[in-house]
Amino acid sequence: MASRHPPESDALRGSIDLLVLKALSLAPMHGWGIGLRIQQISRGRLEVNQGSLYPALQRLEHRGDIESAWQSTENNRRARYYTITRQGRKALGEEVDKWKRFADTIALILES
Amino acid sequence: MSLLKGLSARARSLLSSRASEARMEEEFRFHIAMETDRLVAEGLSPHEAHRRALVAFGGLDHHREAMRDGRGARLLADFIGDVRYALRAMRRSPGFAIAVAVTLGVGIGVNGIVFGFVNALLFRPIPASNSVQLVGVFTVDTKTGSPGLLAYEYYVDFRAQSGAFASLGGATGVPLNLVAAGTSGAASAADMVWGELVTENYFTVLGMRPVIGRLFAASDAPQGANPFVVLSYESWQHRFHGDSSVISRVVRINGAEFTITGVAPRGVKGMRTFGFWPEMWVPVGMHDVDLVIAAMQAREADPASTGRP
Repeated sequence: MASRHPPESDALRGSIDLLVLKALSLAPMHGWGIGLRIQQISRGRLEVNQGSLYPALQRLEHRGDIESAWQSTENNRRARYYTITRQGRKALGEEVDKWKRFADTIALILES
Repeated sequence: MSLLKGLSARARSLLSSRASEARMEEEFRFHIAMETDRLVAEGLSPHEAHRRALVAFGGLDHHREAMRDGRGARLLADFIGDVRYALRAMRRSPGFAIAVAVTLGVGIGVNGIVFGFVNALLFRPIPASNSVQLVGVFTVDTKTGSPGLLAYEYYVDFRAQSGAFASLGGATGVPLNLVAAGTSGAASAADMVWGELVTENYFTVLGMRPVIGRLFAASDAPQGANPFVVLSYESWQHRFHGDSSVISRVVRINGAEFTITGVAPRGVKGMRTFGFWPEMWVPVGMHDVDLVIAAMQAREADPASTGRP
């Protein structure tokens, strides 16, 4: 609990943004739900502090990639729900393409 | 559209950092509560579940700081972005940028000048000791509603018979031809200055005290026998270099000799807000001398009286 938390590298920060957008592209969700969904998608392979999500969410919202509003959960708790915007979908598409090209390039080099 | 929403979200977090903090705390609490519930459902005790939820979340303060940094960095980045955008726009159309800069500069400059004048003229407090009790008496043109002057005889009647005022003073502006020897005592040139013919109680009514010398007193009332002049503070400073020996010095006004008796308080420029501010005051009893110039000007302006064809 009292351990130090080094700031995330740019690469990790970028990938958190990407993962959040990917998670939200399926359905609007609150922060905790997004974290859970990312864990499910990555099958637990991604070790990230759950709290790191929130600066990322703030960043994406400022950028206009997502928007948020208070809503009730099925358990009648008040939660901030995030929704991906059209701009966010476009950004997600571009990022995914970039990742794929990068991965293809690496694969090409490794297989030559 | 989403750009607009991004902007509004930015503006919100910028304007209400307290609201941002409250929202952050509520989201963090909700997250921990949900995680705790999930762990309890997996069979942990509520206490242990809460502890593990906190660990999984990572240091609360660490994330709080990250959120605050994000907001601050956003502010700075926005500002830098705005400046960069403005510079780019200026480089694209330098003519327009210069036109705007000049327009703004002239606009602000003119505003400043006008405000300076208005401030000096309209908002200048009347430099009297009891200014709240002061009132002005004018005649009013019933057709145009514009104020006019009061004849001296009316003034005397008002003063003697109205009973409405504790005292009543009078003043009227008059151009004066002044010949004053310089402090060196050598060359002296004639000057056209603005003065005021005032009743002998003028300064008394205003409750003013002289800087040096004396102001007019009741003994200055007699007609034609009071060739005294009171200088304004500014005139004393500029024309006589603040020399205190000006008292009792003789100057020529409209060709007649007048004795300087005193200097009015600093900033006293008569009761006018606009127009010509008097440099000196002479008693109304000397109007035969003081009004000569006006009579001469009237004659010169009328060709018939000069005898020309």
